[in-house]
Amino acid sequence: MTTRETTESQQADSRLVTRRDALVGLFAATASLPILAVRGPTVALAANLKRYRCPETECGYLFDPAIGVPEHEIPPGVAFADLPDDWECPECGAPKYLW
Amino acid sequence: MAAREFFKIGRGPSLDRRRFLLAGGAAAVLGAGGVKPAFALAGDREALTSSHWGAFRARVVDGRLVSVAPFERDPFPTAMIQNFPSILYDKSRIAKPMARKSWLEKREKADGADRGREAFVELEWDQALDLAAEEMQRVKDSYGNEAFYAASYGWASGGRFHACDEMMNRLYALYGGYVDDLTNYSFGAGMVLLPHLLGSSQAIGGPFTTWPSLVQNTQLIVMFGGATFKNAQITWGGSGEHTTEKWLRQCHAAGIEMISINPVREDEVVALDMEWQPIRPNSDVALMLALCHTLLTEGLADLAFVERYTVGFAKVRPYILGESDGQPKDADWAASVTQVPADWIRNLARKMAAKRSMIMTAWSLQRARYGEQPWWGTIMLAAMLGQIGLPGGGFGFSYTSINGYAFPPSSFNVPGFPRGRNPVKTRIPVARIADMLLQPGAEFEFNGRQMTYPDIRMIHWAGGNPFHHHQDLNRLTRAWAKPETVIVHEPWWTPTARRADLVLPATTTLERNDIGASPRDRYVFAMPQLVAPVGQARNDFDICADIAERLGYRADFTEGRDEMGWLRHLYARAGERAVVEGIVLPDFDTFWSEGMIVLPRPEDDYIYLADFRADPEANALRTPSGRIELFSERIAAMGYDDCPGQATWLEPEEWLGRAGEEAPLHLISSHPQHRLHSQMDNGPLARASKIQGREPLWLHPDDAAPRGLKTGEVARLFNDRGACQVGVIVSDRVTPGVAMLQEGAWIDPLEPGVPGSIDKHGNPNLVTKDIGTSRLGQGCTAQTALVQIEKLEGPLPEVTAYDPPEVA
Repeated sequence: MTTRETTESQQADSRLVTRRDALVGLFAATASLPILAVRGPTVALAANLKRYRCPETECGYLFDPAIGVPEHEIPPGVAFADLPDDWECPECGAPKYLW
Repeated sequence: MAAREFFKIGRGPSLDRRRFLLAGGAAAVLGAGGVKPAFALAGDREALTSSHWGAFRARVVDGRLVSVAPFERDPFPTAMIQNFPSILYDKSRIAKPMARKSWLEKREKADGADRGREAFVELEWDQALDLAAEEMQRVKDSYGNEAFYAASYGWASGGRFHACDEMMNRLYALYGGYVDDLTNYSFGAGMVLLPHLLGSSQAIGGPFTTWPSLVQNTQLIVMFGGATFKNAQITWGGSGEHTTEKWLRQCHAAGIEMISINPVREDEVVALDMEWQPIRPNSDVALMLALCHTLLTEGLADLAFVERYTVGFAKVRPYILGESDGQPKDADWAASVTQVPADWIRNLARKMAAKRSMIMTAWSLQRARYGEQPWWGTIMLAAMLGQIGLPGGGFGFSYTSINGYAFPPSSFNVPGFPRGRNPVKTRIPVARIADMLLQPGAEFEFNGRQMTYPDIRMIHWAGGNPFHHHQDLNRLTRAWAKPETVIVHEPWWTPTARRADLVLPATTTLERNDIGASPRDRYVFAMPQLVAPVGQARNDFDICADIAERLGYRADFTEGRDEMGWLRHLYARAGERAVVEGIVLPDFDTFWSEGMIVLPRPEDDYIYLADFRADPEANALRTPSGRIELFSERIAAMGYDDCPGQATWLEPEEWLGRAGEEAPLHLISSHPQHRLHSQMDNGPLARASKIQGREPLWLHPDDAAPRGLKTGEVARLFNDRGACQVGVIVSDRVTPGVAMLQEGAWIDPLEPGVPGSIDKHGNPNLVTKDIGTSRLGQGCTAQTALVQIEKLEGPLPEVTAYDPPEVA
C-alpha cells in the first residue's frame, strides 16, 4: 500500500491553527515559550519483558519490568505474567486479571 | 467543509462557539446569590493551568477568576472551559460543612429514607471532622471494615495529587480496609471480556494502532456506534492538545471512506462526509455475524489468518452458517433483526474485504444488555478480514471515546497519589452498588467467580455523583436509605451531596496546587492555586489528614508531606521514571515557575498486534491458547447463558423487536455535549442548552406527530421504572422508534427522596434498567431501555436542581 499524501490535510490543519491563534492572541499576551524535556540516552530493555498499561481510563499506570513495582516490593526484572495472581494496580487497584 | 461552520455547536439551541470563546462569556452569566471567596488574594494575574477539559489560561483580578482563554497550542479547545468562572462561585457551591438534621440528632437511628428530603444544619469544621472520625470508629468497632464502602467512583478533578477518590481509598486502607469497586460504567463489560479473547485490555486502554497509521494506510473506517467530536472534549487528567477531532479531519482529508452505523446521526456524519446507516439499538452483533456470513459464503474470509492466529473457528463457523441452530446468520436474517438492508450488509462485507479496513466499535455498544457480544463480534469480524496487525487495519474500541486515545504511545507519566494497599479483599463490580445495598449476603457471579455482597453500614464518597450515573435511580433511592451513615465531599450541591448525612465542602482544582498530566498527551502542566478557597471549602487531602489525625494515623496518611511536598515528591518520582525513557525533566522549581513541560514527540507509529502477527509463537497472547479466541473455552466453562463461549445474538428483554404499546420507543443516553457527565451541568453552557429548563430529548418527526409534540415543548418520558420531564427537539437525526437524551442532568424530583417521584429536570437514569450486562461482565446497561413519551399540559413546576437545600 502506498503512503498517501497528507499535504491537503496539513494545509487544512494549519488554517485552523491560524484561526485559533487569532482568538488566543487576545488573551495570551503573557504566554511564554514552553520548556521542552530533552531525550537522553535510552536505557536498553530486555526484549522479552513487555510493558502493560493499566486499562482504567483514570489511571494509565504503566507496569514496566525495567522499574518493577517499588510500592509492592517487586524488583526490576519480573515479567507481568509472574506477578502474583492477586496483584493490583498500585495507583487505581485494577486487578491483574483485567489488564 | 466551509470554515465558518467549524465552530458551530450542533446540538440543542445553538450557541456560537466562536463568539462564546471570544466574549469570555461565562463570567457575564454569574448571577446574584453566589458563594463568595473567604478572602481575596491581592493583585491581578494570568496563569496557565490544566483540567479534564484541557489546558487554559485563567485571568484573576482582585483575587477573583474573571475569565479564561484556551491554551494557545490546543488546536481544538472546548468551549466548556468558559464554565469555570461561573461555576466556581455559583450558588450551588457548598459554603460550610453541613449535617442532615435528624442524623445529627439521632445518628444511626435516624431514618435513612429521609435522605434527600430533609433540611441540613450548618457545622463548624472541627465538629464535622469529629463526627466523621466518630462514625468511622463506631462502624469499625460494631461491624468491622467490610461495612465501609469507600470506593468513591467518579471523574472528580484532573490533577495527579488531588485525586480525591484515591485519597478516600487511602484514608480507609490505612484504617484497616474497605469494600472497593471493580471496573467502571464506561467499558466495564468490555474490560472483563477482552483479556479472555486477546490476553489483555490493551485494545481499550492503548497503545493501539495510531492515528498517523490510519491516515496513511486505511481506506475504510467502519464505526459501530458512530464517532463524535463531543466525547473527545475531555481527557482524564487533562491535555495540552485536543487531537481526536484533528485526526478524524485528517482521515477525511486523506480520502478515507467512513461509515457510521448508529441509530443517531451525529454532526460528524456531515462534517466528515460519512455515510450514515441507522440500526436498531442493541442489535449490532447480528450485523457483525451477517458480515462474517457473507465473508465466509463468498470466499472472502481470510482463512489463513484465522487458522494461524485464532482458535475456535470450528465452533464459530457452524453457528454463523446456521448448521448448529438451523438459522444461518445471513444478511436477510440480519436485516430482519437490525433493519439494515440485506444488500447493504453484503456490499459492506465485500467492501471491507477489498479495502484496508479499520473497525471502530464504541464503548456505548457494550453498555447494554449482553453488551459483551458486539465487542466479541468486532474481534471475530476483524479476524475474518485478516487485517489485524497490519498498518491501518484491524479494530479498536476507544478511538473517539475520549480525547487522546491512539496518540502515539508515551511511556512516561507522572505518578498519582498512592491509594495504599487495602487489607479487605471484598469488591463489587461498580455498577452493582444498588444490588449490594439492597441484598447484603446475597451471592452473585462475576467473570467466573462466585461472590457475596457485603453488608455496608457506611458510605464515604468524594468527587462522584452516583445519583446521576447509576441506572434506575428510583431503585438507588431505595438502596441508599439502607446504610447508617453517608458522608460526601463535594464542591457543589449535587444530587449525591443532597442525599448525604454529613457534607464536607471541598475545593475545586482552581483553589489548590496540583500537577496535570496524562499518558495520552505530551504535556505536563503546573496547576497553581489561582484563587482562595470559596466559602469554607477545604482540600480533600486536608480533610482526610485531619480525620486520620483524630483516629491516630495522620503521619501515615500524609507521609509527613504537605501539598507542595507531595507535588515535589510525585514530580521527583516522575523524573526517575522519565530517565528510563531517556527523558530528562527540568528541576521542580523551574517546572513550577515556567508552568509547563512539553515531552518529546513519540517517534514511532504503533500498530496493535503487529508483533503477534509477525511471530505468534514468540509474541503469544496471554490467552489460554496464546491466540485470539473466537471461541473461549474458559468463558464457555463458566456456563453463563447470558454470555456463551462465542459471539452470539441474544435478544435483550427490552429492545424494539419486543416493544409493545406501553413502551414503544428505545431510549439512547449519550455522553453530553455541554458538560462532563454531570460536571458543569450547573454551568452556563449546559443551562443554555435546556428547553424550558429541561434537558433536551431528540425525537423523530414520525414519533413526535402522533403525540402532538413540537420542538420547544416539554414532555414526560416514562416507563414502569420511573419518569422525568424533558424538553423536545423534533429531528430526523434519530431513527424512528428511537429517542436520544444526553446523560448528566442533576435529578430534581418533584418530591425529593420519594422513590417514583417524577424528575423535573430530565435525567435518563430515571427510566434505565439496573441489571448487569451478563454474569461475565456485570457492566451497566444504560442503553437498554424501552420508554414512552407523552405531552405535558398545564403549568410546569420550577426546576430547582441548582438551589441549595434548606438549612434549618
